[in-house]
Amino acid sequence: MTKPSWFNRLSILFGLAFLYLPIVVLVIYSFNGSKLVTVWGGFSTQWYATVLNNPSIIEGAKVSFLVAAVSATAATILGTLAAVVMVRLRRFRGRALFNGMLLAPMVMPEVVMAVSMLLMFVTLGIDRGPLTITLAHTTFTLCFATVVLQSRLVELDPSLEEAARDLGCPPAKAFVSVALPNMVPAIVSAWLLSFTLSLDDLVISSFTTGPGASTLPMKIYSQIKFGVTPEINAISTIILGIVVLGLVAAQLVSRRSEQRATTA
Amino acid sequence: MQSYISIENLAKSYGVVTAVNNISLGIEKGEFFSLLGPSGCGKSTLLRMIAGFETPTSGAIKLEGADVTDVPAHKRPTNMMFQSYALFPHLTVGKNIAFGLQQDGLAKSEIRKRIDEVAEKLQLTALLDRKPAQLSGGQRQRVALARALVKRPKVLLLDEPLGALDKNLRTETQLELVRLQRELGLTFIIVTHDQHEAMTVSTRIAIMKQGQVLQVGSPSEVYETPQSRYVAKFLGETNVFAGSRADRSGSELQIDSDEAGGRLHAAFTDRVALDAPFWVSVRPERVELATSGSGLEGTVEQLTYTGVERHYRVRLKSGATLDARRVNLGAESDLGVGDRVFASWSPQASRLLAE
Repeated sequence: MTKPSWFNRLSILFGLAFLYLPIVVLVIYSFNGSKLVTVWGGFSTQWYATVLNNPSIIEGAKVSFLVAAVSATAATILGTLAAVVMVRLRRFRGRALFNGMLLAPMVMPEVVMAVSMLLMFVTLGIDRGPLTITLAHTTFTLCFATVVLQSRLVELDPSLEEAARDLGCPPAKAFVSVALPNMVPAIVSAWLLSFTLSLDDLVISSFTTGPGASTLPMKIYSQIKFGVTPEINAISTIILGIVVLGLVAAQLVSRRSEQRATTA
Repeated sequence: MQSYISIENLAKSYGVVTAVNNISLGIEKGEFFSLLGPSGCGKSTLLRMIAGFETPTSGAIKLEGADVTDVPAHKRPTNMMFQSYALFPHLTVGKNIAFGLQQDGLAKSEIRKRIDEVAEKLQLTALLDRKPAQLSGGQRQRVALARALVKRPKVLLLDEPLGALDKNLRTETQLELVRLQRELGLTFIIVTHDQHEAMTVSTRIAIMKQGQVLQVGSPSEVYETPQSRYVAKFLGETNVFAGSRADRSGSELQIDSDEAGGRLHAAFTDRVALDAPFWVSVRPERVELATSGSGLEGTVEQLTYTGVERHYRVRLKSGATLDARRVNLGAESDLGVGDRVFASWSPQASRLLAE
């Protein structure tokens, strides 16, 4: 490898700054002692204490975590089934259509999806609240979960299940006892990915929620209307930390499974 | 007489593609039977139908006289060793081997006993607590074999079992497989594209091409008396010349071959119709080269030394090439590139072939 030129170094620096400077500023100012967002008043953790003593924020966090956990679980289960169908059934009528529809939410404008879900819930007469947010989140995280699971399942040797059947295992049991254990890393990372996606969603949550059920991002958004406070910085930093942890965990799990797959 | 395994008019097609085309075969108990052919000839599909992974389009598979065509894989008394070995990566070697026995609901003590037995036979005792990822290729191959054998199947199916091993280990393992098969008295059916492997291990070989079986016989039968040009060329090397005219004199045939540019001799056979296109084949190791005398005249174009033997490529006067081999007995070759030679062989070395 050649040494990076000054131009390379500079462009990397600019690129990283462009991506991460706002976040760095946010994190630094969350430890600001001053009440004014733009004036540095010494190091302090007082805004974290304020956040933890704000019942409205805590309530929002509870809703967010509940929604994220339930929708991630549902998306992972459905995603596993979809991935199995896509990978194992090479040919069936409508396969291309099914694949396209599975992946469409990835590129579909979020507002369109949000509006369509709102309309559906209204038409069906389902009371809007945590349940409808959960259903909507399951739908939009499902495609991400499926992609993660599909890529693992493709790598899984199909003769593993055949070997299990050959040794006397009925087909369904062969899937559960041989394929599923080898998909655990992908299942875990699909769940973590769905969880973090659900946790920081604002648009779909806002459209599909009802009175009394506000997720954390929604609370933050409504607070911002009255001006950015250091408290917002503190909440954002906490969410950032959780999301980063989730993504790192997902990465680690899938990398470990990759290593295992290559050595196997 | 009913064979141990009988395959009756078996066919399998995928849409318009015919993978296996109306095959009938009888395999006897205790045989080491090879399905040999190039990739795409349908040999793996045939094996997978015997295992129960593929449903035949038509025809029947019978095992000891009982029709098993519609019996699902998990209920068939056959076990398979996969090309990829298909060891369960999340289980230890011991649990991989135990898997099949647990499906049968055997008692723990019995499972333990049978694992120890097979592990000892295949030198796996020290590896029982390892995971497949921690094993070498040869060790994985033995685990795959142990996992299939521990079920005491009526028939063991081997799908290109040695493809992933390097050459030396492969030869060693072939002999090991034969020893094991004799010792256990089991029926083995192996799928391979390696003719040398098929010759080494089998009691009988079925040579396949495009979904059909061309010839079945012992290794020496199919090598010495191939019935078609394809079989002769697929098994080992051979020189093939198109025959132009044939005259019979007693038990011998005088064949004029424009391709070879001379007269060839062969023993008479009624197996091959001489009014249809026919060919004469001779194995390179049966060809004698001399600097004078009679036979087909040509010049040595290439001389290759492989250690075991010398390989001569002769350009005949007719323009065709002829290969000849001489076992290396220590002496220097009296023939060199560019030398004029006469090639001849005994009439018994000639094989008459149909298309």
